[in-house]
Amino acid sequence: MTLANDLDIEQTRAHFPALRSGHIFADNAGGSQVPKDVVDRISDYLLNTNVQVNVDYSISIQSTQRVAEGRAAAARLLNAAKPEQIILGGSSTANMENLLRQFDGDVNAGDEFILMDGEHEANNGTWKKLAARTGAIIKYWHPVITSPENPFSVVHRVEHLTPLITPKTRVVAFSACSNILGSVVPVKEISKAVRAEAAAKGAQKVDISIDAVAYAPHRRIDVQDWDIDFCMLSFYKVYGPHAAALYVRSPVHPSSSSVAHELVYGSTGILPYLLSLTPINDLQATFDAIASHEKSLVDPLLAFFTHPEQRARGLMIVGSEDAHDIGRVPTISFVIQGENPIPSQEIVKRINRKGGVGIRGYKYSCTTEDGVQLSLDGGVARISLVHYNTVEEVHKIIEILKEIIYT
Amino acid sequence: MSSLDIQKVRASFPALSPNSQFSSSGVPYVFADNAGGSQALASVVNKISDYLLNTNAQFGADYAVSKVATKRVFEDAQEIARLVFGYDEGEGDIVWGSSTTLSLEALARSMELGGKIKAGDEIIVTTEHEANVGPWTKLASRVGATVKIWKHSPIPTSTGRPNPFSIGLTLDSLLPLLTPKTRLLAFTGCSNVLGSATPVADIVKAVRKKMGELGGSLEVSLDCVAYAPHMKMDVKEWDVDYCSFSWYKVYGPHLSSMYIRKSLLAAPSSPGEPHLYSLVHHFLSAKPSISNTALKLQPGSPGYELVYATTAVVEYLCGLIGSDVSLTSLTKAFNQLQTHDYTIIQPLLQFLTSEAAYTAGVRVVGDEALSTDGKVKHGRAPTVSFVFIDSSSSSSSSTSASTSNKLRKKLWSKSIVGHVDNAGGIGIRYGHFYAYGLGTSLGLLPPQSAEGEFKNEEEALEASLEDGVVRVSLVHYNTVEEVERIIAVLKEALGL
Repeated sequence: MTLANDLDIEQTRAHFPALRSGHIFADNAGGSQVPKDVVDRISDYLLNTNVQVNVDYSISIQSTQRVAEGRAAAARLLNAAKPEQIILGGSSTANMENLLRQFDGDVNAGDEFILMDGEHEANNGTWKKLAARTGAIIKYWHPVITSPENPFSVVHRVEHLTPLITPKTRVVAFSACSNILGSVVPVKEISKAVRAEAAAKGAQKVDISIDAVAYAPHRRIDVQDWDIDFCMLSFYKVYGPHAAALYVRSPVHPSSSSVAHELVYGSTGILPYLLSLTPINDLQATFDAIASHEKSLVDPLLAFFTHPEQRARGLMIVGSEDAHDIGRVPTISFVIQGENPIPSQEIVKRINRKGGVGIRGYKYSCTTEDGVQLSLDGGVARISLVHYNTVEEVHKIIEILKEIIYT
Repeated sequence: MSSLDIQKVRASFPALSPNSQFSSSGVPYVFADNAGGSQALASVVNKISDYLLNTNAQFGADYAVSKVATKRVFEDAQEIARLVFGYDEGEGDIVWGSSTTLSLEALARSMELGGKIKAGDEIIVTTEHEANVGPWTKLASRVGATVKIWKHSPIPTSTGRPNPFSIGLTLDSLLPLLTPKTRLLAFTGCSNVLGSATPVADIVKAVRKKMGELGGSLEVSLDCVAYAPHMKMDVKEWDVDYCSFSWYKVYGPHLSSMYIRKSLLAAPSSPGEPHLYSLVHHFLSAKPSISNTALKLQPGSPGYELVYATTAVVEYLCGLIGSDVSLTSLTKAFNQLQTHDYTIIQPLLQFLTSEAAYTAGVRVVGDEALSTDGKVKHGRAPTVSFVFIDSSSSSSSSTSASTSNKLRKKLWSKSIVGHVDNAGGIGIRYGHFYAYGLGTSLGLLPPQSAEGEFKNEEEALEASLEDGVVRVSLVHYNTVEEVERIIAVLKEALGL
């Protein structure tokens, strides 16, 4: 049964000229494709309003307005209360580097930062650098293994985070969804638990920093509902150009970051595109439809990987195998170990050599709550899909996987 | 040498078309604030679109789309940048960034963390654009280094009539500032206000010679943002260590490139050796392909679609002389641009230095740059700034800008620009243009009519500084006809 609010996959794909070639884009966690309207907006800016901003003459007023629209659009995507809480920059890494400088003097030696073990450096690296500069201490929130048949089926749970909080906790920084493990974590619930625990233990000031880069293509962000202090978003992973937005609940200084105006204006095309995906013209409805479609992509992949035949062959998902989890996004990282292992880089090569599909490998390491370090020296192979991928594409990918594993 | 095909030039820029949204009744807008950003080539716009629609994939993977993307950004654009800066293969590397300001800030941070500038060291800056001043003054303040200012000096006027704003950077006021502790010299290849190219090669040669005699050595950071749209850069001849510019002023996208001398990028060979510290993720820093290259100064990636689009700028320039992309053809193209530039600013300089304009109170801020035969002096960029002073205010015979702080404007620069804006169809600008120290040194009081608005002279000078100069900044797609229109409107604005 097709619900009125289901995605119309043909209509969705029609927005993306890059999809016409028939190539299967299966490395979306490395960057998604871009709708024509976003590209047209970039061109429009450069051809029609390309003058210095914040100057008196009339065309400048238009270009200034377009840049302001970019901030306003990012504020809506994140559900920030005010556009002033949005810093735009060339990349999330650059935005966080900029944010780091705002912390001079606001962190003391001995303060504690809690980071998510194994997560992307754009978030973790920033806080590690700040800790090195200020003498703050890093603690790690470790995941647990969730399937007895798979030592890599790791998931982060809030009950292993809260015990890490002490009176000295200053920052808790984690990903809303891992770019490797592919499970959404319940940010609102975690934020609430962290703040309650922090209050109970007498921690003076706790900032919560969320990396929503790998989350944003799949689910709706709501920084106010989440009650968080910082949130990173990279537009090029959520159907936009190579620019980024950082939400800062209480901006200390006016934004000093810099980003190409044409890309900022291009990013204003993301919101209308997302809203167009259902007739309701509402972000939650859009992301509900996306979640529903993504489940149809995730289910066959999980079923394939957890099938006894594949288990026997040594295929293992790195991340949750739970098909019931609606927060399981179509980012499926895996390894092939067992008696006849295939190094992840080799898996990626063989798949890509088939032609017609592109995936990527990735380094990953973490230690579980029980102190077990996952043995992933060769990294993982990763299939990462979004809502413009189709079930047919998933079946093709599975066929290719079978070919390279069993021949 | 054949001259610039102005039709071909203008046809390459959609904003200049009679049908563009800037045009009025088929008359193209006169863009005369190009120092704030030039118009973009159609081919640049097309390449951005092409990249995003056809090769928008993450790098380093071995599937076809990724390979093309990788080549476009890391090979094609990298090679084009090499030609633009003029260094030999292997002798330099490029930092791609969102802005020159941010890239220089990153460079300063990297130098600090790598121990290249320490307490007691000396840094020389100018009062030119903040991008190549601010990062160094902030660095000095953080580490306890000393900042010295290489001030502008009076330079001879073209007409022989006194002009306290006829100033420029000269070597003889720089050399005395050097000591064995000088570690960095930061200056501009061309001022975005004064509009004259600095004789970089001569300056760097003399500076390095003196430093050798003093038993020290320094590095040179050159700001070519206002230079790059007009003249061919040549970091090899200049012997500079860092050189930055912004593509959006050179007919391209909003992106910056900074050249770094390759030898300066080497990772330290022993602990404690001063070096350029890596600003990127630690697991990347460990790779020699990063720790020894400009990539270590690029936290987070530049917009790839924009990097790729820069190749269109160089293809366009070489195409103007009907050639394939090469260093020779790019150099020839810039010669053609420069010749055209002299043609278009000659009438403007002549007007601004005319008897009538001078008597009324017009003063060029910068080199009046007209030889006795009426030709424009070599190295004068088509960026012309001026102020309109009340020549009856005292010290009008003074030849030193820094001491004549009793001179008064006759009209706010803002009102002159406002008049031009109201006339319609022409865009010029007023202000200090982020050359804040330079603006301060002009020391002009506001017009008499505004006398009562300020509490004290300090406030009055502040307001006048914000008001700054009037600036007309052209590029090679402007025409003599456009300049004549500008002159006509300025005459009205100035009551001439």
